[in-house]
Amino acid sequence: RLLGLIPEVLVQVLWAHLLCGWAFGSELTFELPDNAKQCFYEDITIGTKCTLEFQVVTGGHYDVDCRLEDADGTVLYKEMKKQYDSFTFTAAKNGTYKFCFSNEFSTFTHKTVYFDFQVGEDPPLFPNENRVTALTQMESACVSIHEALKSVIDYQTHFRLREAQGRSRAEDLNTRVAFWSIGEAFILLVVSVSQVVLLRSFFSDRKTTTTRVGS
Amino acid sequence: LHSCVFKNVSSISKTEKKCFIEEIPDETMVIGKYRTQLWDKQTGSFLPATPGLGMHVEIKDPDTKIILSRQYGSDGRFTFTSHTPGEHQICLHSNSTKMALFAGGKLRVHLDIQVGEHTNNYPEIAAKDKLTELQLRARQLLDQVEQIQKEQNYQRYREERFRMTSESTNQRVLWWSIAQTVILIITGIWQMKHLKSFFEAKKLV
Repeated sequence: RLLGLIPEVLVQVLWAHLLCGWAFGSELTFELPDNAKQCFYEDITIGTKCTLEFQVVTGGHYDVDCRLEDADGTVLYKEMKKQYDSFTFTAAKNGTYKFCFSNEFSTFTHKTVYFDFQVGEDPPLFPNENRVTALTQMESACVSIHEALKSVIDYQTHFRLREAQGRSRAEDLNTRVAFWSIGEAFILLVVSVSQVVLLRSFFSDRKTTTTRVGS
Repeated sequence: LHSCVFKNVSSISKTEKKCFIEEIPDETMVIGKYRTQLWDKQTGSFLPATPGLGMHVEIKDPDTKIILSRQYGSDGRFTFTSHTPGEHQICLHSNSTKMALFAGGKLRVHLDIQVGEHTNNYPEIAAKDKLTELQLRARQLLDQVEQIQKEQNYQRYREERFRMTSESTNQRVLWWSIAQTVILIITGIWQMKHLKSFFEAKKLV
């Protein structure tokens, strides 16, 4: 959708990933409007182990279509209306991989989607150093603590997303209860008053008829 | 240099805003870097963008107050530290003054957003503070644990909000049920009384 004031130029802005050095992981939360599709691009080298994880945070039935294609357009992963999934694959080709999230099936709810795309391993702490000797006990203890903490952070992220989901549902419920209560009270009053008015109108007509017949 | 965490965004039209949400605890540093490339039809590849191709960056805090709104060049870097926990919105849109972008042209943006302890550049810290490898690893672990603690504090704050919302819903349901029952009874009584007096007036009863 064009939002700006410059009408004549329609330019496709492709946002892309860049493979840098060793590897990377990126997580992103974005809003997917209704009937929209959002694609992301990634340059991956052959043999790299990658993981794509996504979760729908808010909106509608909390589901989205996801599709992952490799550099030649071969579909590696395709799922419709999924709430949460995790897909691991090893890159078989070099090139720009593409993954898309689609909310085209939804008519008016827009969704917030979180995804985490991990490519390869984490960069080492000392990128310039060549590891010749084995790690000491202290160093390997540090490495295992680091990995454990990384998984703690990962669990925290997923917990945060689930909590956000629950909280958004609770807030929706709160506003809905308020509106429905007021609406229902109003309808109740209108219906009871109109019942009485209608009933009165029936008897008024019959009275006139009776009087006419009588005389 | 340091580890790159880049993000992908999809194709959008030139003046459209693309926003990303970062839900972060308070006192967390966020660094964003971007690089733009323009599609060159002659070579059939993306070349570094010409000057004049800028991006406007706007960052809003959880209270939708703008904390950063600046125009950057074709390559830019922005930093902010959150002072309120919650959902921050990072919006970018291209703002080209020159007609460098022709119809059907493509602009590729490489975006990099690093949050919290990922903003630390460990080789730089090691060089500055002259740390041994073990000390650097310990420093990294300390940073990670600090981030976990901040996230847990944020979690506690969120749970409180959630609990307040649930309790408010509970209260609302309770009071409105009572109110509606009262309204129902009152309208029933009113209807009966009104109709009774109406029929008596019409001499039907």
